[in-house]
Amino acid sequence: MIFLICWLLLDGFWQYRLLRQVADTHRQFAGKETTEKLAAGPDSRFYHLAQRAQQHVDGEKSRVFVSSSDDYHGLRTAYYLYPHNPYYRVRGDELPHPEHLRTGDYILIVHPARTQFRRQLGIVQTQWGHVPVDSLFSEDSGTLLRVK
Amino acid sequence: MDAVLTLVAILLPVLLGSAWINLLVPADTPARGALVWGNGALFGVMVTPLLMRALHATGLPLDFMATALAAVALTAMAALIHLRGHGRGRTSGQAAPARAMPTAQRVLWTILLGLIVLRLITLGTEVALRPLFPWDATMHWATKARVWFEHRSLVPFVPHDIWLQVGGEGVYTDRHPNYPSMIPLLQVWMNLATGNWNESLMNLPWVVCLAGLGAAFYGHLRVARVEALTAAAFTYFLMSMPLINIHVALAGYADIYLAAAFCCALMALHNWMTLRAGWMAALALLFAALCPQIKNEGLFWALSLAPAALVAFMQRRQAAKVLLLLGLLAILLLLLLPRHLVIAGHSMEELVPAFQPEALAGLVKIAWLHANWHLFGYMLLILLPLGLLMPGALTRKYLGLTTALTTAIGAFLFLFLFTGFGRRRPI
Repeated sequence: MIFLICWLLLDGFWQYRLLRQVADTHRQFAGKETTEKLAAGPDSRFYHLAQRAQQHVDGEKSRVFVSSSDDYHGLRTAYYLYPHNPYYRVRGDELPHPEHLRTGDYILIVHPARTQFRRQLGIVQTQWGHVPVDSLFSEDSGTLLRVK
Repeated sequence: MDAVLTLVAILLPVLLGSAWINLLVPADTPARGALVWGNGALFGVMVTPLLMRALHATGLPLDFMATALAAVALTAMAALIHLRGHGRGRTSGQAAPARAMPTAQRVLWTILLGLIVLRLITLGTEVALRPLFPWDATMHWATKARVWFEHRSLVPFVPHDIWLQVGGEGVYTDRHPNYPSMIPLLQVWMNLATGNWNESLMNLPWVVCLAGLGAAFYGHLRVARVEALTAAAFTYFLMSMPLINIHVALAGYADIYLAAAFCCALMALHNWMTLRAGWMAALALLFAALCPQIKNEGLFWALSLAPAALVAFMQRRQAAKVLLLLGLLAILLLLLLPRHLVIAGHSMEELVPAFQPEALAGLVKIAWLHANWHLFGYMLLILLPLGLLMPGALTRKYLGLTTALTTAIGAFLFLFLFTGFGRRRPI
């Protein structure tokens, strides 16, 4: 019985924290559609970046290579790109070898990234070499490029 | 309308599972309702995605109406079998004379039930509001759900190098393309109900999973002749543990389903060994078979029950010899199997034994320092020696349960103390 009372006390604090969390979550998300929730959620900047990229990508079958040196940033952005066909390797090379890239592919650089876009030269510099690209847009969170 | 359809998507699997589990459980089983609805809810939630896969294999697209009709037909079939009298007259022979609880105990029992309901409502509200958040969920579970929902088809997911080889034509990729389809299909099922991709409502089955686990746990304790109040207290302990709650509040991982399936299989196995009731063996087999359908690693969890089943009918001395032999066999296999051999998605290379000293502190912290289990870690420190000293702990009655838990905990400790899984990772 003593054990149960101790557990009840401890769990009372946990229940209180849960209720406060639910109140916070309610304030943040109640009455919103999924897209509005994602836009208001903790990953909003990655969601916005992915949404903006999708507006530039032609068709769902287009290949989008996500490049980032930060796994969290890269993975979250890649997730919001589905049901397009994103390619992102957690803890892997930022981009595959250029022989796997083809004209019309998209490269979404999510900052921070070792992959660098050199605007004057119109190339993206990867660990394997450079690839000629067009810039579609650039913002604080990332840059979308199309392979020439 | 969306709320009604979501409710249907929640209730239909529960009814389907419960209708079939109802056929298994004898009429006079203690806490029969909790056993049927608890195991039934879990079974239904896990079997509905398998039903979707079966229908898809016949060439049908992923479709709510087709799956719902099949689920209704199967539920009706189970009800019909029940009405025709199958199993209705069957008794367990375990029924104890009903003993009314004293008022004070009944009040405490009701308070505990109230706390459990409050917890489920709190977690349910959080799940219904919050969009998908957990790491693994966006790494390899909901990725598949998103694509399959959009295409209404089980479009293949392949490893990154294969994706590159085929140029991404007709295939997708994510971190674990070979993981089973059950959890993503469960999310697809919830979204198909309304026809919209909803990153919150698709996770409501996680709340059902916790409720089902709690009811099944209570039912199994009652079958094991535990008093109603004690059973309610331990069910409350189980359902209030922060780590389990977090797996529901931040829904999207498959682990709680695997834990629930393993727990149901283990409890049924113990009650089968104790009562020698065939329906308990069927329940244990059913949930053990579901484990690998949830996660690849479920195969190892299901296999961890095998030594217990093997020694179920042996004398203590004979069982000790068999277990020793099994242990040696496991070590031999670990040393002799080719490193490139892949079992349940993991190569033997990953299991090469090498002590990971830094993992030891982590394991101690998660059990006794961090707020994962409330007081469970401390309870273990008391219960383990008490259990081993208890008369009959290592005799036939508890031999199976002791063997199963020792195997599972041994496998867990080996994985995190002696393989690369115990190493600190960047994320």
